[in-house]
Amino acid sequence: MTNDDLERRLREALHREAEQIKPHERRTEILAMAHNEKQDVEPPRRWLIPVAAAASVVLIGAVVWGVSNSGGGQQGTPAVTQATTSATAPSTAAVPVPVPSLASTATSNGSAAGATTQVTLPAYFVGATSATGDQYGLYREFVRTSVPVGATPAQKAKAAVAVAMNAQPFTNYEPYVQPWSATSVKNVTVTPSLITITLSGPGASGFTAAQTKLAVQELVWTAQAAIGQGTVPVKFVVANGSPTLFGTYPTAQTYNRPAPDLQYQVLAPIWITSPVRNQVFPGGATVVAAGQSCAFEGTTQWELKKGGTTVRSGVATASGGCPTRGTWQVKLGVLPAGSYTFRMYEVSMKDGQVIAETSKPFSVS
Amino acid sequence: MAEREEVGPADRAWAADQALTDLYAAHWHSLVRLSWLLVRDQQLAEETVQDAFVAMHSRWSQLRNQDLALAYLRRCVVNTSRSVLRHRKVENRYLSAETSARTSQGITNEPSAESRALEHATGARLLAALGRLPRREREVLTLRYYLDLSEAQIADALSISPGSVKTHAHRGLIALRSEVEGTP
Repeated sequence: MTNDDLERRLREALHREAEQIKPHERRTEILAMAHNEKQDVEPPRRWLIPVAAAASVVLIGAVVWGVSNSGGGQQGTPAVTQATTSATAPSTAAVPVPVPSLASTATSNGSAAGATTQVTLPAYFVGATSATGDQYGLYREFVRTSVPVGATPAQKAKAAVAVAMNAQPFTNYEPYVQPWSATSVKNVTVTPSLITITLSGPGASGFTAAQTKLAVQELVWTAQAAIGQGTVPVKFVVANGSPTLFGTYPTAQTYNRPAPDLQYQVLAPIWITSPVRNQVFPGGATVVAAGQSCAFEGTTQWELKKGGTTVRSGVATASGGCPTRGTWQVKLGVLPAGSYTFRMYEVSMKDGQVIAETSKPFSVS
Repeated sequence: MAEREEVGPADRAWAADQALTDLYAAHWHSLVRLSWLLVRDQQLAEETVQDAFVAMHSRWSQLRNQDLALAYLRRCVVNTSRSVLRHRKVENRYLSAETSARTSQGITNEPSAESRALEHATGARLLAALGRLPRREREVLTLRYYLDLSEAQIADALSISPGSVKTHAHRGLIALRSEVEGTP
């Protein structure tokens, strides 16, 4: 074999090998995380800004264009911005930004013992997947929380699980339930073959079997995502010695995500990953909505509302039909300034009922 | 805690987003596949490259150039893939993996048994032999023959000298040749 021949064969083998994997679409997640990461360099006091009362107030994880400090510059938008209208679940309660206090935040040199830093981690929540509220699935949020400087994967996982268990801050604007109410995460340990999550209790009562099954899954998905080492099995320990979670799921066994072709049983059928909640687009920007769905023939319908009025609507086709979870994209183009809500929904082929839906408010400045 | 002077933050964010969007469109697949060739786990590979893009976005004000940004992405991907390997000690997985064995989710098109058996026999042996090479030689050959990078680009991605790239490539190819030609 000549050198040229060897090189050609190696090149071909590597390409053939590599092209057998099909990377998933992550652009919107990357953009969302990139904007959250950028806020890390801002003075930490921004995280103390109380969120004003009103409908669907902005949250952590919101992508913000042109971040500036509150009351500051003429062209920036505060990280925590004004209320915008929403089609769902208005509230008049003040909502604390669900980010831990800054009592131990990193000092200016960033290396003080016990110092913490802000990171963005994905956390999963159990939520209703349609307005009827009888079906549930997991939704993912990118959540800012604090972890010790130089946190281990286990420390990140503990922080993420703590966020996932506290759905309350989201319940004013998302249809999330709180099966882990009054329960806390005591510890997380990680080995290459096992994640062990120690909880203070077995979970709240009064939830359906479907909800509690998803409640276990939300912690599995959240811990695995924070650790980033793939689908490592998860074992639960209940500090009070309970042998089950929710009186049903034995702690003697391990739990994992379903196989990819069965994940439709766990994940909410429709996710909107862009815009993120209360994202502010600069005037003149091209607005593109994107997300994931597991819908019949990959087909979902969408509508764009401004105020209470539907200004645009259409049909989206995802990259795959259920049980494949596909990605979809809707180019909304340049929009006039104002507050909008983008709603994506699936209509039953059988009876025309809306069987899954979700929406996200955003605005154009 | 002084207010920071922000000069055109919206424009800057927009530029970073545009760069990220363009680089993502052009290089997401190849970088994920590069990472996958190094770590053999699709989920880890995607997360590695995702983190690289997020880091690149945050540094855009220093990079300001897509070529520099791409070089930065490659360095991040190689470094993170390496630390993932170190952390998980998955070299063993690589070594034991048949060329088509998958450790990750979402693989939908396994090659047929017959194509593995005959048509790609040499390629399979080459990849198996590649997996047995020292880490640096494996990285150099993967960057050269998968991404078709120049010696200078490989040197930048691995933070070594071009001379070292040449040496590692030479040794790696000799080892591959002896393995392949010595294997019935």
